[in-house]
Amino acid sequence: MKGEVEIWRGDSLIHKESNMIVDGAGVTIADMMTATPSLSAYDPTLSSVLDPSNYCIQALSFGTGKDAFSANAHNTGEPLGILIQQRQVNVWDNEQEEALLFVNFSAIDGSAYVPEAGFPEAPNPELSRLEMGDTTTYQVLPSTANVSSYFVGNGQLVNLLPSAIVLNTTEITGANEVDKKVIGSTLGCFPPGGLPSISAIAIFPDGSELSSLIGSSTFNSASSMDYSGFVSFQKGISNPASGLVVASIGGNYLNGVEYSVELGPGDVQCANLYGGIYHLGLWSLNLQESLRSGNIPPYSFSVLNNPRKYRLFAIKSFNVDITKNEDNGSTPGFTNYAIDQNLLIKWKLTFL
Amino acid sequence: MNFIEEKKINGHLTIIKKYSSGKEEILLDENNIIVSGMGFALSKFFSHNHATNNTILDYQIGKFQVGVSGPPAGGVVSSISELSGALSSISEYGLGSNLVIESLQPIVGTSVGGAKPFANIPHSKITRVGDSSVRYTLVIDEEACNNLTRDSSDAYLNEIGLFVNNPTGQASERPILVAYKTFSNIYKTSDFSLIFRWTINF
Repeated sequence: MKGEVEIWRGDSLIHKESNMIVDGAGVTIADMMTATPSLSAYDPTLSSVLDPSNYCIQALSFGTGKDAFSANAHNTGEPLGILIQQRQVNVWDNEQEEALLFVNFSAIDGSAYVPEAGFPEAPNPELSRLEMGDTTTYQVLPSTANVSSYFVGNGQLVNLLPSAIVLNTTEITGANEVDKKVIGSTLGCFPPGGLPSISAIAIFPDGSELSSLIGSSTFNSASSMDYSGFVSFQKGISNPASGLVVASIGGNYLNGVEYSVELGPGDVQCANLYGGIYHLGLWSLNLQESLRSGNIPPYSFSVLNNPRKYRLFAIKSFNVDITKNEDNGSTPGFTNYAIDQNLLIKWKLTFL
Repeated sequence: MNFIEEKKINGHLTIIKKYSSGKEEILLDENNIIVSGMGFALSKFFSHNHATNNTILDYQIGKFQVGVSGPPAGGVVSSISELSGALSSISEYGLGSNLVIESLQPIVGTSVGGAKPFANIPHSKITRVGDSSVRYTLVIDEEACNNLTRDSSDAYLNEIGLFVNNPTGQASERPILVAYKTFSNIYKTSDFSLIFRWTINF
């Protein structure tokens, strides 16, 4: 088994490299090869347990270095973090914006945002998630709710920024609505669908600021990404803006299969502000874990309460942030996330 | 730990000759070859292009054939899609044996081959022996495949293949060859059984 990842920006191929199939791929196939028909005979409610989709690749996710989860637009540091939180609270108290992100530019001449990510995890076939270290975002801000007690880092960029998601998944915190939005803004990492409604503010060392309107998200427009950052497979659909889709290569299964997914300009911009993208992960369903969680198949995808548990199948790591942007003449990169900055990811797998 | 980007599916076959007295003799202990059908079956599986009534059982390795004309004239290469001389009738597998034989049309290359007998691998003989390793124990008992002949001469077992049940999800199963091995001639008689311990590492 081997794989190759291509990343396209418009008509330009910006990356083409081999991936790493991790040990989880072999485990998934061995699971599939040893599933016994008695599973469904044992309990009629388990009639879907032999459905092939229970063992297939079902999701893709995005990761960055673990240091990124306590920097960038996560805004956990003091004293700037406290000032930022207060400004967010003031804005949301007045119901002015869906959300407001801040990033701290370390140098005034840096007009394209370069996220802090440290050293991302090196590719390793034993990986079971994109970053193995602690990627929990520890909030040190005086909020009524503690982010780290609400969401433990899962090694990848999560999808809690849209208020529709964070307000529905933070009931357990007991936080008020504004603080829930602070939690969403602290955790990130992808904007709401629909019309652009989030502004990012760059703060420079001299105190000056620059504002940039963040585009919409293909993931949240299509409701294809759950709150923990998994873009779900879309069966019977070929448009990669709808989520993760698949087709045989050249119409011949002997050539393998190609998965693809598209990030909208808002997804690219927001991921950049929350630490960039240094990893891609392809995930199969983990039937045992899904069953162990008390969920029986068929597993319908849900953004807010996804019953699916996943197992890492393949990983692609990059030496550069694939969301990085550049200045365009006198237009600073921070405000230059153009509409044509959609990223199309094509992930080819062959099995012999 | 495997640090290469490519993860190779591989297999290992041990053939044991077992006499009714209990005496055992190892005839072969070597790696097999994984053939292109494995790529086809897994690609079909991971494409999500499953037929309505497909189940996971369609994508499992669940059948085998033995043959008397190995190795193939073109050599043992990954492109082979059928045994050189698979047993041609249910009676050749042995009417008194414990093998469950059915006649099916396999996928051969890009087309459908003629009907041939296939032996089923019971689920009790499929064992998880590691996180990503599965062992298939195929037993050709004392009553199976005995005293075979071709053109009035003795015929020797010398090839075996594993098949995925039905990757294209047809109403009538169409198996596809996924692993293959040739071995030295064995003239099978009722004096002994043959045990094939075949481990595939995914």
